Amino acid sequence: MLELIAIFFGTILLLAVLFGLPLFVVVKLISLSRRVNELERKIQGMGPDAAPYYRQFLSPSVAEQTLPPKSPSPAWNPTGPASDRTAQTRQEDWRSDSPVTVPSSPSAERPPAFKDSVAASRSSIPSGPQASPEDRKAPQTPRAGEDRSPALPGPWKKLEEALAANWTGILGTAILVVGAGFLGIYAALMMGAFARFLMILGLAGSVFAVSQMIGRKAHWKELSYWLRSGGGAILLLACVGTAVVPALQWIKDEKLLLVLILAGVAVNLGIAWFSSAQTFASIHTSLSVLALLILPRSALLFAIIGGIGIFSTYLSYRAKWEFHLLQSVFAFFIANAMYALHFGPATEMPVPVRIIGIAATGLIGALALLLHYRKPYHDQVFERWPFLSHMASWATLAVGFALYSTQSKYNTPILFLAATLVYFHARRARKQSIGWLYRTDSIMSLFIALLAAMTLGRWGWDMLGLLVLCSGLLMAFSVAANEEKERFLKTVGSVLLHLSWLILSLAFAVLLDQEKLYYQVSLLLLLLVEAVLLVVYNRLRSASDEELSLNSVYGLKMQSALCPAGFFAGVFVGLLAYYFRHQTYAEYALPLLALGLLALRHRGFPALVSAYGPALIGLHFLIALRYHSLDPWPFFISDLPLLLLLLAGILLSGFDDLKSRMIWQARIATGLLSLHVAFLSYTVSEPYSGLLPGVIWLLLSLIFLEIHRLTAVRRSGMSLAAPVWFIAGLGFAALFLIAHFFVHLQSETLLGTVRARLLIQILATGAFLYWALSNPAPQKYDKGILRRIPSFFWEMALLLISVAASLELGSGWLPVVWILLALGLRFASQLSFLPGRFDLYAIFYFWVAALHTGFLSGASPMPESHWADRVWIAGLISIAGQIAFLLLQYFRWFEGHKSSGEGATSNSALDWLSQWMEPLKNKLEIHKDGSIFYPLFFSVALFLYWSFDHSLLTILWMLEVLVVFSIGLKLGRNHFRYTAQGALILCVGRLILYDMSQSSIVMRAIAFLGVGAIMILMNAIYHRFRADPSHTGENPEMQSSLESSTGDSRLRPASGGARQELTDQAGESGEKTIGTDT
Amino acid sequence: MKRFLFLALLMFGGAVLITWIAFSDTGSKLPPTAAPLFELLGKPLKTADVVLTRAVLIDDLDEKKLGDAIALRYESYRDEKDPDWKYLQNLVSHLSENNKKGFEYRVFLLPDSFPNAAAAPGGVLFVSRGMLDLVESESELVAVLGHEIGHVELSHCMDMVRFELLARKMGATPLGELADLAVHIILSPSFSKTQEADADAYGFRMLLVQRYNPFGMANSFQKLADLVPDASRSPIEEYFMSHPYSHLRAEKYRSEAKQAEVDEYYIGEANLRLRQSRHEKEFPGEWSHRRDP
Repeated sequence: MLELIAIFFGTILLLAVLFGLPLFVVVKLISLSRRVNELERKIQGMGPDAAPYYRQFLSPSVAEQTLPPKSPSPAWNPTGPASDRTAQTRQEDWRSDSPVTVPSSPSAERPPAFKDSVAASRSSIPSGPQASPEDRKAPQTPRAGEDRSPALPGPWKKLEEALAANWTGILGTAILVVGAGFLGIYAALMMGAFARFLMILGLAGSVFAVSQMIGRKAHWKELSYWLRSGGGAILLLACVGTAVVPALQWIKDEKLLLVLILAGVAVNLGIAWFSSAQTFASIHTSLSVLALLILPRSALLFAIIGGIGIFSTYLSYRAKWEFHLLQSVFAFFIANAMYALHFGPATEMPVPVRIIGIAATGLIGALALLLHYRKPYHDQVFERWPFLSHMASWATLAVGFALYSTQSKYNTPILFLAATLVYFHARRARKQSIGWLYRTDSIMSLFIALLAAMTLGRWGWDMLGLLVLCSGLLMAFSVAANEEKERFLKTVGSVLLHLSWLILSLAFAVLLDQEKLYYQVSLLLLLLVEAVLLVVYNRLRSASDEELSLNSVYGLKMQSALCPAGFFAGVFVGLLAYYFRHQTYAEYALPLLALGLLALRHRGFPALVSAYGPALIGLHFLIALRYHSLDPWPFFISDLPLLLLLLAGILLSGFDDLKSRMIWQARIATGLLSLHVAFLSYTVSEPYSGLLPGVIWLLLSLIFLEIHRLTAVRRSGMSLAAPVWFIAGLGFAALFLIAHFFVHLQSETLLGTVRARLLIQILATGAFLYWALSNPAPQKYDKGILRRIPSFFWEMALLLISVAASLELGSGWLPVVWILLALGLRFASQLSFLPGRFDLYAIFYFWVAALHTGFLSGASPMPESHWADRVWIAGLISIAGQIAFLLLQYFRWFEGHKSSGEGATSNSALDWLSQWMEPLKNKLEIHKDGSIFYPLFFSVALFLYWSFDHSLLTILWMLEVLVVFSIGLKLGRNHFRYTAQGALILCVGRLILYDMSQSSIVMRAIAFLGVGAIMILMNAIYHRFRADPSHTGENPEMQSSLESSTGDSRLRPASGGARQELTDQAGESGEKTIGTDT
Repeated sequence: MKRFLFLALLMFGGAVLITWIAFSDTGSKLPPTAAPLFELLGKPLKTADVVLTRAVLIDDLDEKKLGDAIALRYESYRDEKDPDWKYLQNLVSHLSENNKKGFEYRVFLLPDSFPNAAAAPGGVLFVSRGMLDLVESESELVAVLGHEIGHVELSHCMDMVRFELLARKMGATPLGELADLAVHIILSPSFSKTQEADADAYGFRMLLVQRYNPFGMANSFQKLADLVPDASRSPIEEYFMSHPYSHLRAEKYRSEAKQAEVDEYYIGEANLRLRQSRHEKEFPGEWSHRRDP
């Protein structure tokens, strides 16, 4: 079987050698050649000064002799300048073989011949960190018998260098091993076992001899090492083969066999010990472990493997052999795992194996971990490979111990002890300036401590207890790191601490057990104390330096309202509320606890303000549960402590002991207080009547508005929340409106003979007027929408009046209400404290009244049981009102000197809505003939049409035509006359077409007489006006009109623009004329 | 100071109002509903609809012709030997005397056990037998009939056929039907509840004018509400409701009846029982002094 394996691997190796390696070598050579050429070009470009450095680059050992004495040594120097260290770090990767300082004793003068010889041989000497101790110990002058041949030509030289330095060794060793394999196979067929063993041994000796022979030449040294290594490997193969390969088994005694194998292993370990390169050390230690792993499992072999592991790890102490260290711990880890898996679970494992495993794991782990505390690592600079090997050591150590763990509860003190030792040992690294090691091992000690804490489950601790202990450990770690001013560890500790609190919060929410209530509550209280203590600690530490606070890891300042510890303190209070939700009086006790935190926050610990929010959420959860279980009044009593807490939050925010602004505390508390008040008022009052909550909210809106006004001007806790009072007031007003439109409107409850709904509307109108008159105090946060909203309360009041009228009055009387509102608004717009836009609304209401009168008032089909049911009476009153409005609008009676857009206060900027509507208002003012007169005319005409017998309609309309005609003449508006004349034609047409055919003879006669008389009257009036110079003389438009109608050429013609100007002025002059006439 | 006085007055007024409500309206449950709000918002639209109806060049004669055509189709529901029909027709004829539109109102008795009533253009009324079974007095029946007459008199029935009639005059019937349909879909939901409220007001006014029991309207609505309890609906459903909630209508007209200035009124339980209208025979025992339930 083994033969077959050997043949198989030999064939693969052969194929790789034949095809893969030549290809790889060629590629590598080309790459190396390119790099060398490039470097040469660069150095040549640097001029003659760079020549010594060029030589140094090619051969440090030689170049050192030619460099000036003060030139920095390329050798490893931990105390050297940073730049040197950096350069060195770059060079020292895991392939680095150079543990020892290169002799740097400069010699002042060298003969030229020597320099030439150095130049000739520079390419054959291993360079820099790859140089072996033998190379470095070798005399720098040529020795007898050493190759003195002149420098080889360029390409051949490079090829030789590459082959000798690296690939030849690998290639040669590989071919050698394959050849040995084939030879072994051949020998297996031809010889006896012992002869075969001797033959392989001879091969090993031959290879070793060759290595010693060629090792004299400097440029074959590398190959020599590989051959020596190959010899050791062949020897070990022969020894192990004696045990496991039937064709080589010439010893039957197991003890002797073991001695033979140990001899082979010893030879390999010897080669590893004497190897100057970690590659060889790694190969031989690995082969040794591998050889022993092939053998049957036993405690003795496992002990030997452990010894090899210790030896191998110890080899890493000779230099910074990070790769070898990695190999050593992993090789042992694999062996460890194979043995552990072979012997089964730790509890069933033979005790010697378990003891050997634990001891070897511990020793190897300790050696590997302590290795980085040595002097060569005394540097603050982070190094990747040491860090990785250190972490790998920790990992293999942890897993190795885990393989032998019997879940004993005594692991806990051991782990705690280990954590303590590691933690304090890590301080050593801090003293030695190995920053990364100090941090890494500190964190590892934390993890070991957390692991130890988790094993407390074996001592009967439950999950919550374990987590609380972990949070305590994390807090201690964070505080210690903070005391050491170690930001990284502080950050890790703080983040983990807050993460643990988060997990704890979730765990407490999920793992509530009523049977363990008081135990769990005590844990919660412990956490609360922990969080508060951390807040206190932060406060004390940050007094001198902000960076000394744990909050600084998040960039939070001392005055910041955000603080993780404070926040979690609030969360724990909230969780207490959750835990105590079934306990009587919890709603009284817990607000007191929160109040205590609040008081502490105002005693110099502002970070506790973060606790306010989560604590309030928990307390609200509690009170919400009470709502479902208690009647309204007991619920009201239960809610009082929370209300007091909110009030305290508002009032205490005014104590500015730390010059911190507690705006958000005050505002959140005010907002919540408002919500509570709204909810309580609903809960308590609704059972009495569905109408009550809305009314109470309306009054509350006034109270909150007044609080806003009173507090906005004074510096206090309540003043900090001034906008919230205002917004809450608006919110209450909005709640009232919702209640009114969705609840009150359906109610028909009578209070006496009046509907409660109407009384509510009257009260609401007053309240909205109060709102409209009370602008928010002019503070900076009252800008924008908040200042604009109160203006709308005028509209809200009007809306409520309109709604009340619509609901309480029959449709027939609505035109009267609308016109009365129009008149009222017209008067009101003249009052200085009322908004100017009332003028505009007056016109709107006038239009509604005209429309309603025209279409609805004249022909209501409703049965009439009372004089008030006769809608034509209302229609007539409405028309009278419309005429009064027209007169008011036209003649501007009662008009003061109020400027347009003047608002509810002397501050005109507040009445932004009036200003916004000003253009429309002005437009309607300019076109008031169209906006006032004509709606009235149409309203009257339609009212007449619907209200009176159609036989009388022609006369009635003619009367209206007469009025319009007269107004046109009086005011000097031609369009009125034209409209009247048009209507006159229609009336005459109706007289002929309708009255002639439909009316009785009497009515027909009356109609004709009436229409005729009115037409004559119109003619008379027209001629009177035409002859009256007091009218025509002062009204250019009229004058022009009359001129055009009479053909009078005395009036001067005017251009289009001038004529328009005159027309524009006509209105004003006409009005003035009429005014004086009147 | 003025502001403070104003505030004090408001607070005092509010406190008095709260106290008054708390003692007068004890325990009234008012679940939130948007139906009254939609009814209120429907008023301007309904006004616009009235304006539109009046602006359209169709008259009562057109409506009467349409009513005749409808009546012809339902002639089978008019059994002149049926005492129920005779009673109804007699009642309707008297109630619609001197109606503003000058229609001759005709009633049809539908053989449906569910209480219902409807009106069609031209003075055509439909009443189900279930309605006759539901009401307990003539005053309650008058309230229902008055409501339906109100629909006709207030031209609500014309909404569905307004443009059709106009188009028929112009020789473009399909266009008119389309316009009616569009108006019905778009506008009708917004003011149909308002129209119902107006028809209620008409019916209630008729009760007062005819000196029937003013609580007849509230009683008939209450019976409907008891028969088919009002399910709570979402605001969207409430918007598309054609009728207001019956219990709210009952509440409203109970309140109106309380406020009505009526000392004595006629109930007419015997008239209904005997299917003999008050106009045919008035029972002195049916007159009652105010008796607020």
